[in-house]
Amino acid sequence: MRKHFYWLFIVLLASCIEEPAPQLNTVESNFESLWKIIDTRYCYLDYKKIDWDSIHDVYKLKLPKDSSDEVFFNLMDSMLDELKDGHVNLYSDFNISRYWKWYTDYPANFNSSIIFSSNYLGENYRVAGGMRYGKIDNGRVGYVYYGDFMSSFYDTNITSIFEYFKNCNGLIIDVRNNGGGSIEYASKLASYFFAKDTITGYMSHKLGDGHSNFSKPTAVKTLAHKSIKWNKPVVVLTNRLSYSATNDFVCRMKMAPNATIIGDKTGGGGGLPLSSELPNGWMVRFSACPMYDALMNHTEWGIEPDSPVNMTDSDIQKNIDTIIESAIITINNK
Amino acid sequence: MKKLFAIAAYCMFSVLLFSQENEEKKYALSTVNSSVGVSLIQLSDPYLSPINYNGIGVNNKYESRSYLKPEDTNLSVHLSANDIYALTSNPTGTALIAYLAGNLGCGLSYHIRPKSGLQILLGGLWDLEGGLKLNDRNVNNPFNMDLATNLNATARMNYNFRLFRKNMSLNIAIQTPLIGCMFVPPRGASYYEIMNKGDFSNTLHFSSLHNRQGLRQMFVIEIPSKNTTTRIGFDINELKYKANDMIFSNSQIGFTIGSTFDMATFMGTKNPAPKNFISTKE
Repeated sequence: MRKHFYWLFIVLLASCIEEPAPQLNTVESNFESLWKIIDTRYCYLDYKKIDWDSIHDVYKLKLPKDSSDEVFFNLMDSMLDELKDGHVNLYSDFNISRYWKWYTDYPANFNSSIIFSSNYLGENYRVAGGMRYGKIDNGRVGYVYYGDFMSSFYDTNITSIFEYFKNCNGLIIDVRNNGGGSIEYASKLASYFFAKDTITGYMSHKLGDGHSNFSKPTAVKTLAHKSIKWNKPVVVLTNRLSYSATNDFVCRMKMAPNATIIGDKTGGGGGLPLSSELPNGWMVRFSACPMYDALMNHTEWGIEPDSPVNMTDSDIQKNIDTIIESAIITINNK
Repeated sequence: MKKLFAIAAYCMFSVLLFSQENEEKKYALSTVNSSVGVSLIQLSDPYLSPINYNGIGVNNKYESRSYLKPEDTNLSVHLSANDIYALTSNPTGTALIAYLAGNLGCGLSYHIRPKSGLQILLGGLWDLEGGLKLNDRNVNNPFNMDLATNLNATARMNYNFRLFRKNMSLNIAIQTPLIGCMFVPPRGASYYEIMNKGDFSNTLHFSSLHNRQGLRQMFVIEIPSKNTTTRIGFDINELKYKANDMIFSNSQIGFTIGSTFDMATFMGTKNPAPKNFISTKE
């Protein structure tokens, strides 16, 4: 027994941890590195039914022998576009690749000049914590435009806004053209519209290199704010450019008791992105942790509104926002 | 008169006895080594990047050693505290990782004295490691934490020699982790999911030689001068560990300079300072 123990000890000592060989900074090595990062860490290859192996073969053939950084960058940009994911970017010293078709191929459903016209916010709107707000529909409806989930806000801002709207029939939260930001702000903003803590979704992450190896989904709870609460109807306005953290906010608000989602389907961006790096120092960002709604549906392709509404050309010509008008009717009918 | 003489003799005898007791009582001095240094560092943290980062850092080391009991010179207790701050970059210089780490340790050593002037100390050290690597270019994984606790095997050699008419000392020390526990996030998980959603699955790992291998080596010469004893040397630290399909490494080689001194600690009611010590409180 003792002899075996000694042997085991010697084997353990001898079994050195071997680090992978350093990657070379060549076109081929950078290509293989990028392909492998996506192959092993991108979370939607199977969900989107992408044959990443064949993409490898196709793009490897296109690799030029002596390419400039720009030629190589553009080729890798094209390869990453195959993922059809706005959360996938390649950051070089001279450019950032991006995929924009998730909203450029759809109606805009947003016109800021209409929102800031006298029909709605006008010139004398208020600003608190990145939110622009004012009363519309002759003071019967409160309207908040929040265009960036990177803009911070505090409880005092929300208290002031809710106090200002206390005599309104309901509230519109407009997150159209909000491309995302901090998921913490998404969770915090939603918390004011919940009466109790509610499971509003799930998230998981990749385990190992397999395309479908994921951890057991963790429940994502939206915690109801302890003291600040909006109890009247609330309508969330969305369009295709409601993306990433905004997508998460809409996913949460789908479960809020007095909330209605009106507008276009959100742009998606349901995968929490992480970053990695190529030997040439370029950074790649990619969706790594898939997020699901409360029914375990993927949110990567966007969230359907409760009431789909598109802006019409005739309304736009009259400086009318069809989606806001629809929200006003919804609030006043409740 | 006889009675008075007897009382005086008793008092003198008592004082004599007391002073003898004080002279005979042993006090364990703590040998304190304090040094600062500059290190070249190479980091590999696949959670942040698959590329190795190289840089330079400054470190601070403190250690004290004293016999567990003054009357037993075979067993000593060892306390250590180390910290390092380093800035590293990728080979192309397009991104930085700032590294901040600290280590607290407590151990016991058995002293072997094979010949005069030579001591070999063998023992163990339990330590706590904490570190933070920050790559602010990354999105949602801009930092990674190093948290670990280990039982280490330690060996040290102190050799006193005379050179240039000075009594110098050569210290060589090595330390390797044997068994412990470490925190390593899953490669695909964000700290948002781990911390905010409380999903700690696959983050805590038992560690032993099979997945955590390291060697700290220190070579120091102590040179006494008129008012101080200077320590000059270099150290080499190598650490590799693997978990969650990732292999992490941390290599450091550095130059250190510092001083060593002995001190005695008196505190509490059981261990008051002898009367021939003067405190500012008196």
